[in-house]
Amino acid sequence: MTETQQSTTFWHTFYATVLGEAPTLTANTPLGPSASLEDMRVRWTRRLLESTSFDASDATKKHVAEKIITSQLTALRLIETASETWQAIEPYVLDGDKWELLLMQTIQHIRQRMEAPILTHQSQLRNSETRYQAYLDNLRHQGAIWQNLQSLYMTAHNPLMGIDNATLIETSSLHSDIFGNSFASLLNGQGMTNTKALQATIERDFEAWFTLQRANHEYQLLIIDQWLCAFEDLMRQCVGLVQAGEALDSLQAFLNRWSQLADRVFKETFRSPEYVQLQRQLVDAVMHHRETQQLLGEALLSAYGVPTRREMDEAHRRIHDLRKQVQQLQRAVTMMQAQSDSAEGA
Amino acid sequence: MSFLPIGKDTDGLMRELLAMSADVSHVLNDIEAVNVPQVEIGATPKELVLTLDQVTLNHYASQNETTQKARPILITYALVNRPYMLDLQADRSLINHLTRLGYDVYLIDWGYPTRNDRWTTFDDYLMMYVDVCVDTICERHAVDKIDLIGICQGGVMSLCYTATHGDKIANLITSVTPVDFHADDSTLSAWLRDDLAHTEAINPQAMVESIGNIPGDFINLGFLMLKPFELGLQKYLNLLGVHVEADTLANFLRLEKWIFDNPDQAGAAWREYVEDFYMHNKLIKGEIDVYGEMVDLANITLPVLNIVAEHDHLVPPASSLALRDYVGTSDYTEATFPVGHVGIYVSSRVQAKLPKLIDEWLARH
Repeated sequence: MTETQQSTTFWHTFYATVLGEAPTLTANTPLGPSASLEDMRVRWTRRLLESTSFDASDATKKHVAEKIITSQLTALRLIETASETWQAIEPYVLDGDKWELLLMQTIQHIRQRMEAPILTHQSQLRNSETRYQAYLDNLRHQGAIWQNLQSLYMTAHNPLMGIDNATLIETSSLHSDIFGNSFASLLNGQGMTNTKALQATIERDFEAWFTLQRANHEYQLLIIDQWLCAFEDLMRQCVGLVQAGEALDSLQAFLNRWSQLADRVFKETFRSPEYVQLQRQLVDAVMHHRETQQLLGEALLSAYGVPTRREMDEAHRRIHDLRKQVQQLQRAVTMMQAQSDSAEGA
Repeated sequence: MSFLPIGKDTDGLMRELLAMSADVSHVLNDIEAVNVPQVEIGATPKELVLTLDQVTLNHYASQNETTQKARPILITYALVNRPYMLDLQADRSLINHLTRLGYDVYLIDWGYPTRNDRWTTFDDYLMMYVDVCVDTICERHAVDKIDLIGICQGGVMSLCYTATHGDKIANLITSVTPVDFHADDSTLSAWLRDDLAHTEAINPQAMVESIGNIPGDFINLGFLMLKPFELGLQKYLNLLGVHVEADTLANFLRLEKWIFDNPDQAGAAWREYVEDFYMHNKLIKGEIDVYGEMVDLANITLPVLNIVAEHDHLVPPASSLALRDYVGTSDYTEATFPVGHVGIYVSSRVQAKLPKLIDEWLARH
């Protein structure tokens, strides 16, 4: 049996057992059961997640249960990746330097697997059509309000409701602006939105969203890179143990060692100028996108006369200032009364 | 050929892996069996004394008439976590222990700021809330001064308040309190000091302008990222493979409840705290402004007890211990415990000593 077959059989047996199913895979089963294994993995994950039935009053219990389940799944993935790597290098560990080359090759293979979704997404974003579709999908996920917004944008309605795009082009921008800023803005509902301003806002949001995607990709790639650094260290430590004739005594010990080692690696990563720069870039991008989304929301809300966030914030600021002034006045009055009382007493 | 570099054959590894998976089910059942009241926090009876906006002042009455103290204690806790950490469970409650030693204890609960609070500044917290609480307590107990305990960020607030209103405070106790925010090159420092990483990892002004209040979960994420694998993975895996007593599990759940109960931060106050304290280290430079009055730590001439956690990864001991170089008092005492930032309030060993230490120190003053 090959190493891959052996590993597949191991995990197949494991998942079949935890799922309460009879193992169907044997050493003679032809290779290619990865779909079945993946299916078992998904079913086990689902079963674990569905095994908790905590209601809202058990928020803490639910949170801890979910953390335990996700930790278990993370641990399984790590063990699987580690065993895949170990089986590739072990035959050469006591045999000179070849294991190092195989370790690097295996890690490169894992890197490709981990980075694949990000690189695919990056590639989609390089194409202007798929990029815009991804943006619209993102808008849809924001909720119904964004669907309204999308329909607003797609119909490219204008102050002169009912006039199609072609006609609009022929309308002079001067007329459009004057009409839009005066009478047409009062006509009705969605039509009250200034098309040009809205389009500019959407374009800003689109740019902000795109910048956020890029920042997120860069951040994720760095995290993957550092995870792989930690993983390589873990494997090197394992090799060191074997070469010294030692071994970890359990999976728990293995996982403990991983946590300690990975925390050390990430502590250094998180302090590095490169990471700080990327985090800044990501947080700035999130904030900027948030702002442009807010502007989009305001474009809709103001059209319906609903107070915007900005207006509410300003009202809160004034209330806060007034609250402070009232408190200071109350204190001054209390102090004056006390002085007056003591003067009368004297 | 082995499956992993572990001293077990493939069958042994399979058995351990299956046992670990079975443990998940057992632990989930055990968690389900814990009664909700067991996870409730707040062991000591309390009375609501004052409500100021979202802020409340609670009174925990002395439980010992024979050793009843004349001067009450006010505790100011951090804004970033909930203060019930100090009353997590009866046997590990600083508040419970102090009331049993004869103290009337008051605790400010900052509540959960809403968008309405986004303009509340750091000095507003001192003047609109702490100062009013101090006056209320003085009036209730007919005293001119109270004893003040400040914890973590609440310690910073207590230092600023005492430096500007020392006439209302008899003794000051600071605990796990950052003072010199540039005393070391910790991860938090690396994120917030441009002299260490050429830029800051966040832009507080842009964040507040964009989202108003800062989500509590964002703050908590920052804390968890200091030890992501220990706090996000290993802590939960450690529950597998060992029998966890129901009481231990309830303790674990209570602590988890506290760790993930992070109030949003009032935008203006958070921005000032990050910029003025973390980024520009203004506390030790005497550049913090409280309603027009500058905070000079040298003005603190009353007795000070500074409690430090030796293994604190959030507030490095060097940052807290710097207090000795800046306060004006000649009556300055330090006490260190070999625990971490949270351990100082949840460790049963520390709780067996800390209340007594505070009591003895206050008795001498």
